[in-house]
Amino acid sequence: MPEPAEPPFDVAGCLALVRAGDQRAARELVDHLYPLVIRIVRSHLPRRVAEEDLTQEVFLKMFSRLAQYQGAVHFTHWVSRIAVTTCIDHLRAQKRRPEFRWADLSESEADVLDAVLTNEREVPANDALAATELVQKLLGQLKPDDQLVLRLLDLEQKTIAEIAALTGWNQSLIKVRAFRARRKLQKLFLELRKKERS
Amino acid sequence: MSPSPLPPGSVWNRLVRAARLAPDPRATAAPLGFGTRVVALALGRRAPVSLLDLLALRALGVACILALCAVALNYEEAARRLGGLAGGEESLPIGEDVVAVVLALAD
Repeated sequence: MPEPAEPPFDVAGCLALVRAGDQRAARELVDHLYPLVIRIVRSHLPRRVAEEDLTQEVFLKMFSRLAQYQGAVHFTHWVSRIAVTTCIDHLRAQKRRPEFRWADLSESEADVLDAVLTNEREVPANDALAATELVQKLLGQLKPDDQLVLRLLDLEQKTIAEIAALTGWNQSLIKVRAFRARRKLQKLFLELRKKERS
Repeated sequence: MSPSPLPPGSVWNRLVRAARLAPDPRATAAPLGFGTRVVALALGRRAPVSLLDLLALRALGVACILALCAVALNYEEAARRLGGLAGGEESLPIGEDVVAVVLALAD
């Protein structure tokens, strides 16, 4: 016999209890939102920042700003925005960007890069993790705002409108950032190709 | 809506296409005790804030600005009067009964 489906989480009811100071409701809210927040944090996690610390910071901001939430947008969307802006603040705080060098790549990352640069073969499916690592290293070469745009646009395949809603940036700015970031990556690929040939 | 679709054969496009296939086996459930810790930190530090606390510094700042503006706007007049007093244009009645002078002025 199939188990009865769990009733959907009552966000509005839970928020009312949290506002009244109910700690149990607050814990339930954290547990409910944790998967959403941790996914965002993991996608935009800056170097040398622990994901749990950043997640905790997002939740603390959420509770401290709860009085400002008027219900104009869905609560999960409001929390996502806090998570994205918290990540971008941490990314901006990292002044130095590590240099991208062939020598620092693992064997499988170098294989993946070789495959995409030479255009000879598709990246094998079992190299997807190496491709992810490589993408993170390449994105690390960009400005924090540009990194964020490309992650949301190309990796998470969000629309410009969705990115605008998440970041609060206007759509033209997002397009400019995406264009600039892709151009920088293209330049980087050209340099890598030259180095590979030499 | 997309800014400019990625050229299908571009290096970056091929790379992100491969990266998107990577599974993420990490758990997405909150670790044990995480919720309790966060709630304790969040609700524990929520101290009652009086309106006076909230407004005091802002009010002080505004008062300072207004005071500076008032001095700047009336500087000429104030300087003239002070200069006049210093020059003895209208000297203070020395040796007279000050209360009588004030009462006389009031009349």
